[in-house]
Amino acid sequence: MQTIRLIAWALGKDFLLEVRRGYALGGLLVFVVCIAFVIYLALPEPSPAAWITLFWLAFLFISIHTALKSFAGESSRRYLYYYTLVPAEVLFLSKCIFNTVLIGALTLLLYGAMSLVAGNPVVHQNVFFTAIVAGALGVGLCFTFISAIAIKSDRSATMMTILAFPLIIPVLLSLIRLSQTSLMPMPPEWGSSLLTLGAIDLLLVGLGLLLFPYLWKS
Amino acid sequence: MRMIDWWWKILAIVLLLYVILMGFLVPLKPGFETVGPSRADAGEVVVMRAGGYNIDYTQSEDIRAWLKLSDTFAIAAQAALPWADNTLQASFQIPEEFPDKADVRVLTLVVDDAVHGALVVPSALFVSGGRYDPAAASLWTADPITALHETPGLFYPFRSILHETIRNTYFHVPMWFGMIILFFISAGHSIRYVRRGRMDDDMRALSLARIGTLFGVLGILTGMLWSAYTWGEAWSWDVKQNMAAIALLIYFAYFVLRASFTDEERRARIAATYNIFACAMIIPLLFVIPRMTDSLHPGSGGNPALGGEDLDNTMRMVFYPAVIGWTLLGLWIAQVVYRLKKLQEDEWY
Repeated sequence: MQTIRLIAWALGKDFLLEVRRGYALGGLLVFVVCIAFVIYLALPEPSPAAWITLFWLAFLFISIHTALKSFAGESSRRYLYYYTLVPAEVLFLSKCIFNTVLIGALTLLLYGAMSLVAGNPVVHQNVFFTAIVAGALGVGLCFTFISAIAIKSDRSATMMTILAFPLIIPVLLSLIRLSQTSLMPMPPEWGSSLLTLGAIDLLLVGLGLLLFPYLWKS
Repeated sequence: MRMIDWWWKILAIVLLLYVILMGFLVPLKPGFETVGPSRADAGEVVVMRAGGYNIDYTQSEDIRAWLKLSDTFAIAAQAALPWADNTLQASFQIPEEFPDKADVRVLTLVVDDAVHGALVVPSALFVSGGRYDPAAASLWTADPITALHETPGLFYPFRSILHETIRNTYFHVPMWFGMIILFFISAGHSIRYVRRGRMDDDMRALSLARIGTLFGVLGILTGMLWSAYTWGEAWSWDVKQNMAAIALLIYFAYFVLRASFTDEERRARIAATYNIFACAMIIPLLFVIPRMTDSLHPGSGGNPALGGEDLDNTMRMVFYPAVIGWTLLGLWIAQVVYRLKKLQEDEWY
C-alpha cells in the first residue's frame, strides 16, 4: 500500500512537472502532427503494408524522444533527493508508467492523425488497439531503462539511439506481426504474437526492477 | 601451475584437432546427383542414367536397381550396368497396370551393390498414364527389394543441396553455442560485479563479451559462406541471419557504451547493468522470434531440424566434441584477453 502511494506521488510529480513545462509536451504534440503530415506529403495513399511500416517507425521515434527526456528533465541533485525519499524501484516504476501513458497517448494521437490524412486500413480495431497498448508498455519499459543508462554517459542522446534501436527490435517485430493480423479481413489469430509481446514485457519489468536500483546508486 | 588448472586447455586442443581432422577427412556417403529422365509413360521401357558422387563402378559387380512405388511394391531393373565410372544405366519396363489408384505415380530409385551400399533417390521418376488393376500386385511384388548392403566405412550423409558443405556443421553451429555460453558467463560475471563491486569481475565480463562477439562474427561469416553455396546468396535475409546481426549490434552497443565513460567505476557499474539486460534480451531475439516465422534454416518452415538425416550418428560423433572444443577455446582466449588487460592495468601502478 505504501509502495502504491509512493508511486502515485512520484507519478503526480511527473505529470505536474510535465504540465508546468508546457514546451516539452507541446513539442511532442507538434512532432506527432508533423510526422503525420510528412507521411501524407510523401505518400498520400499508402498501401496497408506501407501504412503499418510508417506508423511503427513514427511510433519508434516518438517513443525515443519521449523516453529520452524522462530523466533529463530534472537535475541530478534533485534525483539524489528523490533517492533519499523513495526506493529506486518506485522511481523506476513511476517513470515507466509515466512513459507508457505518455507514449500510449501520443501513439493514439498519431493513429488519429494518420487516419485523418492517410486513411485507415485497419480492419480489426480491437487487435490494433491491443497492439498499441502492448507496444507502448514494452517500449515504455525498455526505453525508460535505456534512458536511465544513457543519461549517465556523457553523450546521452547519441547513446540513447545506439542502445535503444537494437534492443527494441524484438518488441517492434512482434508489434508489426500483431498489427499485420489486424489488416486482414479474416478473423485474426493473434494469440501467439500477443503472448510473445506479453512475455517480453514481463521480462523487461523483471529486469528493470532488478537492475535499476544498482544503476541508480551511482 | 597444477594440472587441474589447465587440463581443459589440453582437452580443447585435442578436441579441436580431432574435429578438424575428422571434419575434413571423413568422406561423404556415395549418392546420385543427376538422375534422368525424370518422367515416363506407363507401359514404356525407360532407360535411366544416374550420375553419382563419390561413386566408382570400376570395382562393382552385381549392381541391382529397383523403382519403388511404396514400401511393399517395387519393380526390378531389366538390366543395371555401369555406363561410365561414376554413372549407372538401368532400364526398366514400366508396367501398364498399377496396384494403386493415382493419376501420376512417383517412383523412388533404389540402387544397391556391395561396394557402395544401398543408395536411394526419392522422387526419381514420375509416371503418367497406367491403370489400376488389383491383379498387378503380383507383378509389383515379383522382385522385392531384399538383401541390401550397408555402406562400409565411416561416412557423412549425402544431402542433395549441401554436398560437401555439410562439414560446415562443425564450424558454423558450434560458434553459436559458444557465443551464447560466453555471453551467459559474461552476464554471470556482470551479476557478480553488481553484487560485489570488484573490478576483476567487470574485466572478465568484458573479455568474455568480446570473445562472444568474435564468435558471433565468425558464426555470421561461416553462415554467409554456407548460405552462398546452398541458398544462392551470402545474405539471404533469413530471419536467423537478421536476428543474429541484431544480437551482435546489441553487443557492439555495449562496447560503445563502455567507451563513452571516462570514470572507471561508473563505467563498470553501468556497463554491468547493460550487459545483464542485453544478455536477457538476446533470448527472445535468438530463441523466440525465429521460431515464429519461416526460415531457410533447418528446423523451421518445414525443414528438418537438427537430427534426423542432417545429423546422423557419424556426425554426432564429431559435432558434440566440436561444440565443447570451440567453447573451451573461446573461454581460453577470453582468459588470455583478461590477463593481458590486467597486465596492462598493472603497469600503471
